[in-house]
Amino acid sequence: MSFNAAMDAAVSGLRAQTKRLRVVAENMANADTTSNTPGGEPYRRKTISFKSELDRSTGAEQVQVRDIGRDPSAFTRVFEPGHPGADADGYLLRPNVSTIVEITDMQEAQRSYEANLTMLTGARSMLQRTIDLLRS
Amino acid sequence: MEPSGLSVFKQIGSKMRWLTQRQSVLAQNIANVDTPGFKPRDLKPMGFQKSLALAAVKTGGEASHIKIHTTSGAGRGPSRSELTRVDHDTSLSGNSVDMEVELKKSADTALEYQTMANLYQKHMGLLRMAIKGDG
Repeated sequence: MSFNAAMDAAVSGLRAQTKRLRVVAENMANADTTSNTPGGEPYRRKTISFKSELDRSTGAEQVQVRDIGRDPSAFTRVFEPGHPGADADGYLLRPNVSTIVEITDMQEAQRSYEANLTMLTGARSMLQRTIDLLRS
Repeated sequence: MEPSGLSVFKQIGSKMRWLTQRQSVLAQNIANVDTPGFKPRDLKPMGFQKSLALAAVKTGGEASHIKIHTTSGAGRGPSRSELTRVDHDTSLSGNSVDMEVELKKSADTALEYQTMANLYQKHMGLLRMAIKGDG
């Protein structure tokens, strides 16, 4: 039934955006996580990508998480000789997380989530209207 | 005679089915708003020819009757030939879903659906009035 296909697709979108928000939250939480061993690597930013997948039972193109990867970009080096994670020269590697990028990403996820929610309530109200035809 | 045998109800029903399928296609577009390389789709507009064919069912005999039911049968999604591609600005990831356009289309679809449901109800009321005869 097409109403179910519409609602399933919207729900898959909601689920995907929730996972995206979770990744963003992890990145934000670890924006200051450095290594405790001298010269060790700090937290590496996580990335998420989506793919569309055909759901055979409803025939709808749903969205799925393709994979959660790691951002290969370079860490920033700061001079902090007193830190336990600093290398022999006194430099400390800091995570490649940019809070501005993360917040932008978060807002984008929020916007997409809201759009999916709108689709869900729209399909639901159409279904409700059909059921209401029985009452009259 | 059952009400679905009347051409008005048949046409309203097929339009409602079309709107439901369109809503489902639009929901898929919105769900894939961040999928790299995804191209949004839409249903081909339900043209006058199709509604004319539906209206002709009453006099047209069995052949066209069966044909219509196989092309827009319930349960399955729309066939590939009924779908069209719509291209808006393509982003760097190859995705060309425009969220505003899709949401607007969805609102239109929901509104048309309401209209069709109201029409259905009105015609049902007319039938009922004719049966009861009390106005």
